[in-house]
Amino acid sequence: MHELSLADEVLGIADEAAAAAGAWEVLRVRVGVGWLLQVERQSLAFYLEALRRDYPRLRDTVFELEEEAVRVRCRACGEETAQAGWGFACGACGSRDIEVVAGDLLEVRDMEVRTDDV
Amino acid sequence: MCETHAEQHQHRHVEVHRHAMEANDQVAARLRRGFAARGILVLNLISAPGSGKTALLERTLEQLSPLRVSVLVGDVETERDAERLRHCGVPVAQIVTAGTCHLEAGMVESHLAEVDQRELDLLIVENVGNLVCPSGFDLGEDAKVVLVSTTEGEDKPLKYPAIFHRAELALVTKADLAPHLDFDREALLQNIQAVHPGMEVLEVSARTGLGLDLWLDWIRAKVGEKQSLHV
Repeated sequence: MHELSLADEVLGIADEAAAAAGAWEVLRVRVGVGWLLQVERQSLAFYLEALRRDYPRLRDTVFELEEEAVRVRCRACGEETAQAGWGFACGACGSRDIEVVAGDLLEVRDMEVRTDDV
Repeated sequence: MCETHAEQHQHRHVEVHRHAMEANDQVAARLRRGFAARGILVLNLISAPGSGKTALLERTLEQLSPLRVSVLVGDVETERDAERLRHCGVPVAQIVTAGTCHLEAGMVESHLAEVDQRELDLLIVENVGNLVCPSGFDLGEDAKVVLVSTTEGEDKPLKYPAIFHRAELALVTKADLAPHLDFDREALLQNIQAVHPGMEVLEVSARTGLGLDLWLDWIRAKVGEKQSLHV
């Protein structure tokens, strides 16, 4: 159910960015869904649909939800490697001393908008 | 001017790169700075409903003296947990989320006024009973503590890995019931390590007091660490 809060934030960010760009309509928004967040994409899509009526610019927007895999950086050997499951470890040297550098965010990446300027 | 040309001018690509948690994270960072300035340790307790968070807290609060402790309790409805904990003689503020399945940093911030931070060593946040949603919301805490009871089954860490990944300590609660259940202790411990290699685990029982001394020691050591940074 945290998808409700997240959908609201995504819409707010997209609308704010559209306003800043002088857009009156947002055609497409690309959203990166970090695997670590355990976000149910169908549920997120449902809430985006339900809540966007409050945002006139987003009425017909297509939201592309792209899953983002987890990547970790190793503190021992410095390598950055993708992770396939839980129990994260460096893919190069096997060290458990790692930090997550991707896959833990829900990111509004970019969007296509329609503006008045010709 | 041809039509397609005009159309191209009206379409714009906008780079955004902002994330949905940023508003929460900003408040959490502000809270963390405030807690650090006062040397207050903050623990965020997360578990499924019915795993025994409140019962464990009752026993914990009775024995933490002379540490000065306050509790923020999150529930979807009612003040029942706060009422239970007030009997332990510490200041307790209830956060009723009215439907929201997790606590957010803003809710903690708006209820902090109910807690006197000037005279505080430890703030315990009892999150809404839920193993999924609270895990991604930073509340400005020093550590998340995840509770899993022996009655819940040994596969919980595999089913809800995010919280076991993010938490620093796992408490296996209702440990006194283990002999009466088809509970595979080794499997639970293995599953925890599979998700979070090296995770610290303590087995406790609020009912019999089993393992409580280790949990209290863990808290006291953390408080000491935080205060040594503060001074």
